[in-house]
Amino acid sequence: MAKISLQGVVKRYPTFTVGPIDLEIPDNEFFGIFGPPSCGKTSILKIILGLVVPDEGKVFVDGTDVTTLSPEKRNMAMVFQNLALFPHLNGAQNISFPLVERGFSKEKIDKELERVSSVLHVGHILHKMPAQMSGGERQRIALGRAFVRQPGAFLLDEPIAALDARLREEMRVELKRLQSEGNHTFIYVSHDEEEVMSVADRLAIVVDGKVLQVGTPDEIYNRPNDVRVATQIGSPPMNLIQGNVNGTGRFEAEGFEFSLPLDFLADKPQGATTLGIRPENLAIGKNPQIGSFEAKVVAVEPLGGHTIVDMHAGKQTIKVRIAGQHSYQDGERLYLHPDVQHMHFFKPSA
Amino acid sequence: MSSISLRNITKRFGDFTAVSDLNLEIADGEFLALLGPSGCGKTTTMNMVAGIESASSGDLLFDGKPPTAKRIQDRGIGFVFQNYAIFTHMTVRENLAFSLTVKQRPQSEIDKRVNAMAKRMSIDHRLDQLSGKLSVNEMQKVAIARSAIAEPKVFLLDEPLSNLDASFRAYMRAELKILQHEFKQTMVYVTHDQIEAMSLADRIAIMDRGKLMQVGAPLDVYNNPANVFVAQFVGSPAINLLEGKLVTEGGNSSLHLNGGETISLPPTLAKNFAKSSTDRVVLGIRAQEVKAGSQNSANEVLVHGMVEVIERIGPVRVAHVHTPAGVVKCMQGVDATHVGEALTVSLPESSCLAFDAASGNRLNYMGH
Amino acid sequence: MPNNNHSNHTGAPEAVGYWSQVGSSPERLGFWMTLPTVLLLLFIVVFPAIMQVYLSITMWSPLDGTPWYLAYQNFDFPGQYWRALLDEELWNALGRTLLIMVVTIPIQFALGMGLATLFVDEFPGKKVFYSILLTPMMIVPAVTGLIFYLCFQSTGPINNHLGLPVSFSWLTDTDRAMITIMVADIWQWTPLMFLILLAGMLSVPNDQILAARLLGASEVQIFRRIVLPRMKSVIIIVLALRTVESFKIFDSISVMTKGGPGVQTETISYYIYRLTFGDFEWGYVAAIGLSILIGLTVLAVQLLKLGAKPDSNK
Repeated sequence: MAKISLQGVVKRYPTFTVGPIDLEIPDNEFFGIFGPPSCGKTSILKIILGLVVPDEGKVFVDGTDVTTLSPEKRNMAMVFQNLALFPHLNGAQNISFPLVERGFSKEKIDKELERVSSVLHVGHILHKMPAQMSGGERQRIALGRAFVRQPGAFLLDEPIAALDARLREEMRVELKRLQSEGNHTFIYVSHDEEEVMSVADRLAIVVDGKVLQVGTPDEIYNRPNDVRVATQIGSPPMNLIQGNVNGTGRFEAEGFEFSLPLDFLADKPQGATTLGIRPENLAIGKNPQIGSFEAKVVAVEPLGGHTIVDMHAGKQTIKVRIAGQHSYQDGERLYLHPDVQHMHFFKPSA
Repeated sequence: MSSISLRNITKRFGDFTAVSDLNLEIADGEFLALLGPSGCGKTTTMNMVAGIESASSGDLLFDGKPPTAKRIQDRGIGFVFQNYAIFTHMTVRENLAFSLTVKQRPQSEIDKRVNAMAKRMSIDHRLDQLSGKLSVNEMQKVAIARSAIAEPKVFLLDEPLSNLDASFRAYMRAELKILQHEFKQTMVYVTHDQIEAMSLADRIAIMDRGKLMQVGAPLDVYNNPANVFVAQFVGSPAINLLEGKLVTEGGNSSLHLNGGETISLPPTLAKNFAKSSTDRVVLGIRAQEVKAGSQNSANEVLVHGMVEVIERIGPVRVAHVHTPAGVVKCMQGVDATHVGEALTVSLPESSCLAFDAASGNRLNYMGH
Repeated sequence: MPNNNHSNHTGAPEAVGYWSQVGSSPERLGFWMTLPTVLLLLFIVVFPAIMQVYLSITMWSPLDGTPWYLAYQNFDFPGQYWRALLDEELWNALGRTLLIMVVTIPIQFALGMGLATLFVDEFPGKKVFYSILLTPMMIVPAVTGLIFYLCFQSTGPINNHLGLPVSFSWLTDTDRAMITIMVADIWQWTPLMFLILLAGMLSVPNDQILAARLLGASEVQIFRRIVLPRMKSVIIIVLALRTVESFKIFDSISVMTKGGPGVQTETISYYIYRLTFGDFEWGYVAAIGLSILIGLTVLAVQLLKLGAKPDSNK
């Protein structure tokens, strides 16, 4: 499959600029591109595909400069958010379309159709028209149409965004399986961080047209290099507490404070800081202990496998995630103990 | 604030039955989620409550009485559309004021209430902007504020968060919950996202293909599903389901799973399975309860397979173990597991749910 | 796109002709494809326009005996324009035209809007009524004139049905002739108003109407606050369209009253027609025509700027 590289890519639009972007996507990787809506991630995909020519910079595929090469010559297949299935063709015709266009023989087309439909489990719906298919079925046919071309890379632009939540969870695992079993290069754009984090081998976080961080999901989750990366990733997002580290080992926030171990603070700057801590790294206790602070329960979200508790400490809202099922009363006063090992210090926000 | 009763409600569109014999009681001030996949009839049901559609048969009662108002406009129902339907040619202020303006409330009252609501929803800085120029997130707030300001007795929301990006969705969930607690309105919330339903609702009504599957508090529905559909629709990740044939020899029961593996069944589980109408049964267990590796306990069920995919959901890892009987997701003890590894997983008996494969009903279900 | 510059097997580049390359160059292809239309426009619009400007600054008439390109011999600027400004008959004709416009356009608009509101929802036989309603618009205006000419005869169906005596004349009556013209015009063009306004009305998002209803608005309030504002650009466009067209009203007058009785129904276009084919004052007519063109253009641009702003609606 194909190794893709972007070097110094810049594309200017009336309202904002994408880039400069430097990305290396190795062979056979499920590479995710995540960011809030309108951050430029679809533009990056279009530049890789060739629908958009960048104002500056180069795009390389397997070492060849393809920056100005038109899309059909780049041997990449794109699956769009709205699938763009041909409504007047049935499932089999949609899938075989690229091969028919390229003048393949009938036996070859049938063989490829057979191969693709068994991988995607669509044999039983090939005769249906798109209008008769369910969302998930249409999704698979669109994938089939891309698969049948055996391209060097698959570019997927929020391909499952339009599906029901339950189906999305199933399909993303399907996509992962397809990618790893077939050893394909997948470049997957999404605004759903849980989705991207769950299936990507590595991902790039894009905010305001710039790549903030590239890494494995673990790296991005545990070692975000920027407060924006930290808050974009994770549901609920990382708690950010504005406050002040003073010399005596106490962190003073708005309306509450707590102590931090001195050896932990040894290499951290003093003064105004934004402290980040993920919901799962806070423990709830009935009694105070060193390093804990008081907080009031505001809401409880029982999600079945785990529980999210919204709490107020001083003027600050803090979300806590605990495994299993727990119930708390609204207004109950408890103690939160942050896990120092998983605390992040960021520059204070303006 | 009003209670809502749906009694034997059926809605047909020509040959197609969208809602079939629905019976649902919604208490005054309750936050009820109508949960189900696309096409299950949840939006049609809500449209009937709003008066947008009329039922083909059955009774709709508010506070025990049929709705007195003939026209939709007099029913005092707040409705938030999936695509907001805000008046894009009007400013935010005019949108918020609309329900009060058409009732010809005095201008001073309108201004006061609009300013207060805008402040509450943090859109006061946008009040004099054309609402068509707002971001999607802001439009959603306008849609909610516009309905809330009229202080309706009943507040209906049709998938209000589905068009939002993931992070804003989480934020708005919390806001909605606070809003409902404050105004104590009866809220009916349509969604296909079970996380939303679980986190927001006092009770969840799950529908599939026009029928009500189960109604209950979130944890109720999660821990005590009435049937396979509910069990696999609620809860993230989706519940593990293993189908097979119940075989009893002598005093020992075992489950002949599809695909070949036979697992022996601990006594209580075997007893529940024995209640099945046929010998085809389904074993269900949540991924959070499945442990990697045998726990050497008397009442565990062991299944063997190979790890096909490792999924990461937030801070936790889910190992998808491919077994001949299907995929078993395992979440305990998988921190060091990798793809391609052969793995035996342990299913503790106390966490196993037993279902009748033919009907989908849960065996040993004590419900209403 | 096939690459025409590949070399043949002998290694030397092939000679390629201009025509074989045209298909691969968008610019060249564009030029040749638009050439026929451009030529057409030149002959039908541009040359006559230049001719008009030329003639308008002379006192030429074909009765002079000289060919038109020699009209400069009768150069007279701004004589013809001055004459137009002081011409009482011209201003009377303009006044009558304005009268027709001021009466017929609001009536057409109201009728069209009323009909449109009826056609928003379904009712039995809607398609049939729709076709019937659109028919008048499809009829050639001269034929419409003929229809009403026959109807408004003193012995015609209108007088019959209204029980009016033969002495009650329409087309030849000084006051009532204008009414007949207006009736014909309204009959002919209301369907156009209806069609365009209906399209505008249907484009109002239904869920906003539903939302307004749920918020307690009555149907009238919905019309006033939601439907009408969202139809603003369509309304402006259709009014501008009809205003400009109405100004040019000619066919029905020509068939029904020939500007009569006397000049009672003589509109500006009929006056110009009389000057051109009656008095053969072509230099003068050119000047009038040009003045009106400029005047109408300015008017139309102002009207359109007023309302048809790019919508912020979604």
